[in-house]
Amino acid sequence: MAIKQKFQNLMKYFRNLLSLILALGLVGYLLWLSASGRLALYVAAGYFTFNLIVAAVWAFVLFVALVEKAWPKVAKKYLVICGLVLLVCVLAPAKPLSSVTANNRNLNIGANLNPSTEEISPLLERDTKTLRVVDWVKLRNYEANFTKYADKEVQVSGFLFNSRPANAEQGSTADSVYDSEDLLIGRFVVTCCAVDATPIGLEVKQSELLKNFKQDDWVQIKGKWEQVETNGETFLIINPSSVEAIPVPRNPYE
Amino acid sequence: MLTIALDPKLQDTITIFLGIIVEAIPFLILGIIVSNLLAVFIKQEWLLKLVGKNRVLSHLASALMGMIFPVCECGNVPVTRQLLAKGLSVSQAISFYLGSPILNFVVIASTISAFGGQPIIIIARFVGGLIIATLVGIILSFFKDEDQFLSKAALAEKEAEHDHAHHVVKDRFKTLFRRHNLQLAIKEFLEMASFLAIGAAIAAITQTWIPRDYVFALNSAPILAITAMIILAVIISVCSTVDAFVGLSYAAVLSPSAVLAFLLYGPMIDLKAISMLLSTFKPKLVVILISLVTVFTLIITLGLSASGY
Repeated sequence: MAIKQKFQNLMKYFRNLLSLILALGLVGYLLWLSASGRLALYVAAGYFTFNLIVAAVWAFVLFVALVEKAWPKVAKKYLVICGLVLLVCVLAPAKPLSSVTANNRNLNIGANLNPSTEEISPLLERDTKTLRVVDWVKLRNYEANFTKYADKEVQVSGFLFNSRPANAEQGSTADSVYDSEDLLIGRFVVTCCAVDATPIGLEVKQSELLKNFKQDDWVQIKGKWEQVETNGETFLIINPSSVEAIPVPRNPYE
Repeated sequence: MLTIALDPKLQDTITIFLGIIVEAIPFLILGIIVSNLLAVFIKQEWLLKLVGKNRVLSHLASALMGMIFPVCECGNVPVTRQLLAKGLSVSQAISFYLGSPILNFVVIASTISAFGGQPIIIIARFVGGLIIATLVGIILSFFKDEDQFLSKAALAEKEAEHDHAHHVVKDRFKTLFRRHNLQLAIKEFLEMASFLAIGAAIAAITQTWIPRDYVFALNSAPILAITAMIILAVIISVCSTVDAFVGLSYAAVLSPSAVLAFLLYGPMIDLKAISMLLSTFKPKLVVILISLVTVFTLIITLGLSASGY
């Protein structure tokens, strides 16, 4: 009886110690995300400092708790859930959102970037080769006559994806993007965290250069804007002169 | 580091799940810190005096209290619990809970910056939010025994705090780091993080597996567009400090009344908030809350729609 009692007390002690360790693990994960730069996969850059400061303050509080042996008494079910969360945190492959989400949210690609004149004027003065995907989308939404950029040089990086109506059967991402219609080079715009990521993209003309690439491959495309006409509408599409594979950037979102 | 190749849909679900967790946990911690500061530095008598006894004014004051606390819907559950412990009634605490994620200054600033061109949305959001928070509180105050709505844990906490409240706190900073307080704060952190995780998981799964276009297929009549935006707000569970920018991205395709539905409803009711509310309140209160907030949101947004927006 006495031994059983002792054993139970020991188990309780460990469970309460485990609670504190889990709390430390979660905050440790936040600090590690900041230190490794992986935070950029999940939240917008504007939150980096806030995230780091709050995590550091909380780490300090937990450290004091550790010193004071203030093990919290937490019910088992919460420990299980927090343990699972921590497991997902540690095991989750570090990848930015993919074409699957881009297509799922393919409401109206890029239509929601409504730049002001102050935002646009510096873009107008820059060499067109230095403009990013997001800059081009802003220009396209702003300029009544975007086709005037025909034959201008483009050099952008992003991931490749096919824009299809969301209710159509989605192709396997293992397929080559060559020969697919409506190919885009895109990025996600993130205001807060991955939950509000909105896809934006620029149309790319099919070319032999794309033969070895799949959806979600990160590439840098160099080329020129070409004017095309479909169903009586004229618009611009990138005619690539080179397509190069690039590693996923540290800040994959705009 | 381990690299596991996952199905892209599952991979994106995890990325969105972690996005919500990583973004929300610091706000949750902030909420716990604010609630502990509140516990130690704010005297119960002040708070009760501030709120007063008048049925209408006390709920209005509770809703407006959100303006002083920089907490959004993740941080405000711990603060709401603290206010309950300090002696606010359940209905007053609910007025605070509903008001704070809309009326806090960070949210006001982000909404003004997003909708500078559409003042009607800014005004309707804050006035509408204040009206809903106050009215729901007033309606709840007509229930006889308000404590019936508290979960067992919250009820025990309230009674325990009540005994504590009479102790005179001398060295306040020292109190903050007292062993008992540390234990409670960490316990609250792990419990709230669990509820947050459940809500975030449901939100991430529904977001990746239900195409958003389905929501917008309804965009033919005002009532359908408004309902669609309410459903979207519940599903995507985005933090109220930045939801204005998310709402803005729909302003190009939807009417102001539908965007307003998103901005009013989301901060008050969404998947992660529902999950976290259940830590403190019984399911029946959560059901009453959802029903009342839905009805009021519909009345306000349909009214706005009828007047041409």
